[in-house]
Formats: sequence, structure tokens, C-alpha cells
Amino acid sequence: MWLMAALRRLRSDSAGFSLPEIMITTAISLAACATFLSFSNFQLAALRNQADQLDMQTAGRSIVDLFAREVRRAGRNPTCAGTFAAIAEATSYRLRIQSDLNGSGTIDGHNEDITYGFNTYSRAITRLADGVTDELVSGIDPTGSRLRYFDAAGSELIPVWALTQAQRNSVRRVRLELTVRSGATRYGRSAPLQTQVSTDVDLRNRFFVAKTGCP
Amino acid sequence: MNVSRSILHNERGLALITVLLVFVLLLTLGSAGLVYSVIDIKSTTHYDTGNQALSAAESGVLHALSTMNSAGVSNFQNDVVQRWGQLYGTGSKTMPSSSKVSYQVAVAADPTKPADAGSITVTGFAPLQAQRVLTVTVQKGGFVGVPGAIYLAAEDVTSTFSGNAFEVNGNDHGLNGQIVAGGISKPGIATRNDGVTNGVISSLSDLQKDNVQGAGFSLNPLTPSVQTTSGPSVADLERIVANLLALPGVVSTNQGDFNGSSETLGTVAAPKITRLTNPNVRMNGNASGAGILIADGSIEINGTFDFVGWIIVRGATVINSSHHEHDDTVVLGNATIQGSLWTGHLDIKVGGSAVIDYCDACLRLADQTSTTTANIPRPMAVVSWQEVM
Repeated sequence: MWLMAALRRLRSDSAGFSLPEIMITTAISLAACATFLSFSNFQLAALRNQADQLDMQTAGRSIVDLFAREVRRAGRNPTCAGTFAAIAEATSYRLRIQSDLNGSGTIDGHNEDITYGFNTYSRAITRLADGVTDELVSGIDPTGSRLRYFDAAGSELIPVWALTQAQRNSVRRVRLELTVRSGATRYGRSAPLQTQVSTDVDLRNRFFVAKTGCP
Repeated sequence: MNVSRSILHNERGLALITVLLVFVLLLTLGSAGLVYSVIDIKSTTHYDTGNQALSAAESGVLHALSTMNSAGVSNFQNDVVQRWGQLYGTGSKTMPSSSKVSYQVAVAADPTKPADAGSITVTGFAPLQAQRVLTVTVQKGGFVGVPGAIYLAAEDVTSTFSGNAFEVNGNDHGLNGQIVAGGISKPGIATRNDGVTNGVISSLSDLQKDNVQGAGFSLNPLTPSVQTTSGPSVADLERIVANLLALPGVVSTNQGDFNGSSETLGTVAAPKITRLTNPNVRMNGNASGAGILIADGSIEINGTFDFVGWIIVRGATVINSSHHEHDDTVVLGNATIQGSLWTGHLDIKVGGSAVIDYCDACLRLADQTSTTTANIPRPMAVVSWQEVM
């Protein structure tokens, strides 16, 4: 008897949820979840973008550092006996440098002949040394990446196709301009991620060295 | 029953949980973003300190070059490597602009040609344990001349000038004694400090001031060519002399009086290094010479003496003075010195009709005899630069 009385009380209890109440509650909950997920996705995408941007910047900085260190010493000729060219080839997309690092008087040692190149097809920067080609970074933007050359007066030496020997001999500064882009657009962005780095490298063996040193 | 109903109607806990979840999410994302930013900043800072270390190392190279070249180098092994602690000091040097950036310098002679070449290795240090190592190869550079027609190496010099017939000229003269058009201009008298410079200038009368010409000379206002320059000290001069005397082909004589009619101490065709060991040398006749003349004591020139090249007097210098001591260099006759006269003594007395003209070609002649080359000290020059990786 007492059970039946309780069921009757529950059925007549107006404290339960009506259908409209459940629907409205569900709609509000879905909207809140959607907002939350959207916000979450946006934050996660921003985080991913930040990580990718950092990767690109780090890669760009590393390449600039390596490039600067190797170009800076180009033309090292401690014996004064070398007949090689500090800059053996120079275009807007390719630079070949030579240094006598082991003091043998010739270009015969490790890392003594290095070529940096921009591969416009694979959109990568390559480094050729000791017969081995390494891809340093991919995803470069060929339109925003190039090599530039300046003489002792600061005037730019502009290659028609490549610098002539006389122009190469007068180069005192090499500028690397590098633009790296991510492969695709990202959530919340209309354009790919992009980073730009550049450096000016003075050829120490051309301006630091006294001309009277070698006989 | 009332309690159960109250729990069912209570919705305040949901808000708390929702806020906590959002807060945790934001905190996680924010922390991750912060980590990336910190990594980026650290990367940039390390790049920056690396460049600071490189700049410090390059400063060290210049400092080392300046130190070893202040007096010129005759023998890199003897003049620089063996005396590096005395010349440069020990330990690291701090950059004036930043106490946290410093450099350390080491020098070494080339094993195959220690007198002429070597290397400078500089390690630059910067914060965050940044370190860059540079090695530059140095070699004795080309001939750059000497400080002036007369060079006074002592830190304190008493100078006396008499008469108005003497000439000291720092403008470049040729072997024929004529001024070289467009030639270099050195001080007539070069000194090591302003005290000596001012002393020399004040000892010249107004009539005598235009007898000392060369760099810095002007007639209006009347300014003799006496300048403070860098150059070797007396100790450096003794070291230079020791290096010269160690060269092959040095002719030494203890002869005190040169009374002959044609005493010859080298010729322009065959210059030589001559050492006069007698403490009181007197040149009473007609003498001539070419190359390098080193006098251990004084020289008294009463006759005619023409010399082409470089004279180093370790005693005092007196030219046509009415009174002189035994350790003086005395030129009483018609002395013509083309090249340069150096003295490390405290006294110099110039007068008579002596002519001392700076002559680059004459010094080049002295720089190379039949048995020696690069006799005159010269700066070390960088021939190659390398960052050691």
C-alpha cells in the first residue's frame, strides 16, 4: 500500500523535467560544448602554429649560423701559397667557397670546398662538401630567398647570371636572405606560416687580413 | 525526502566544475605557449652571446696585434713569443663595454720559420658559457719605415741645439738627397712621450725651429716638426740591437779613431751592418758608410761623414757642441745622414752643419744587406683568419 502511494506521488510530482526543458537544456549544453571545443581547437592550433613557427625559426637561425661561420673564413690561405679562389662561384642561388683549412697550400681537406645552393624545385637549401650533399632545410620560398654580394665600398655586385671572376675577387660581404614557409595553411590562418632570416657575412680573409702579409 | 529534492535542484557545483575545466585547459595551453616562448628566447640569447664571444675574440686579435706591433718585430720568436707575458700580461682581458665578456690570447711561433711567422689564438667568452676560438696566422709584414729622421727612445731626454746651420728633415728624401715629390712625411724628431716632445721644442730657439721640418711643421705659427709617436723603448732598442748583432755578416770593430781620408763602412752598392764597440769613437777624417751602423758608445765626428741608412747610437748624441762628454755622439764636421738616427741615451745635442734627412730608400737599403733581409723592425700582418669550430 505504501509503495502504490509513493508511485502516485511521483507521477503527480511537478518537479520532473518536461520535454521542452530537456530540449532547451540540451541545446544550451551543445552550444556551450561547441563554443568550448571551438575555443579549445583554436588554442591548440595556435599552439601548433607557435611550435611550427619556432621550428622554422630555429632551422633558419641554424642555417644562418652555419653559413656565416663557413663563409666568414672563405679564402683562408695561411701558407700564402694557395692559388685557389675564395669564392669560386657566385650566383643569386648558389655560392661555392674554398679555404685551406689544413694549411697544405691546396684545397684537399675536409670542408675546404663547400657549395651552398637553393634548389628551386625541391624548395630546399643544400650544402655540398666532400662529395656529400645535405639538405639543410626544406620549404624555402624561392622568391624571398637569395644570395647577394657587396664590394669593399658597400656597392652591390649584381650577377647577370653569375658573378664574373673580377666581381668575385672584389666581394667583401655576402648577404643571405632566407624565407621559409610551412607547407599548407593552418587553422585560423589564411596564409602559410612564414619566417624570414638574413645575415651579412664579412669575408674575414679579405678585410681582416693585411695585404702586406703575404709576399 | 526533502533532502533528496534539495540535492536534485542544486546546480551550483556544475558551474564550479565547468570553470575549473576551462581554467585547467587555459593553464595547459598557456604553459605550453610559455615553454615555446622561453625556448625561443633562450635560442635567441645563445645566438646573441655567441656573437658577443666572437666579437670579443676579434677584439683580442686586434689587441694582440697592437701589442706586438707597438715596437715593431725583428724576430717573432724572440721579440713576441718569449716575451708575451711581459708584453701583454697573463690571464683574460675583460671587454670595457661588458664585464661579462672577455678574451684570452695565446701566441705561438711557426715551427718552420719562427723568426718570421706564427699564430695568435684568441678565445672569446660571453655569458651562458658562450665561447668562440679564432686562430689568425701572422707573418712579418712589409717595410713601413721608422718613426722619424731622429728617434729618441728614452722616456726622459735633455736636448740641446746650437747654431743655425743644422737641418733635421722628416720629409722623404731620395738616395740623391733630394726631396721625393709625394713622398711620405715623418716627424723631423720623433719621441715616445709628450714630456720629451715639449722639452725638445722648448730647447729650440725661434731661429732654430725652422731647421726641424717634416710632419706637423708650419711657418705660421712657427712649429718645428717634433712629435710624439709610438715606437720602441730603450729596452726595445737594446733588443733590436741584439737581434741585429745576431745576424750574419755583422762587421765589428773596436777602432776608436777614424783618421783616414776614405774610411768606408759599407757602400750603397754593398751595404753592411757595422758595429763600433769602442766607447769613444772619433771620426776625424773623411768617412762614409751605408747600411746599419751601431755605436755601443759615443761617436764624435770632426771631419766629413756621409752615411746612408740607419744609425743606432746607444750613447748620447752631440752634434757640433762646444762641450761634450765622453759618452756623447759628437758631429763636429759636415755630417750628412740620410735615413734615420736613433738614440736611447738621455742627452742629444745637435748643431754645426749636420744634415739628418729622413730617407725611405736609404732605410730600405739598410733593411737588406747581402746576407740579411728585413733588418728593420716591422709590424706583424695577418695573413689568414679562421674560426676554430
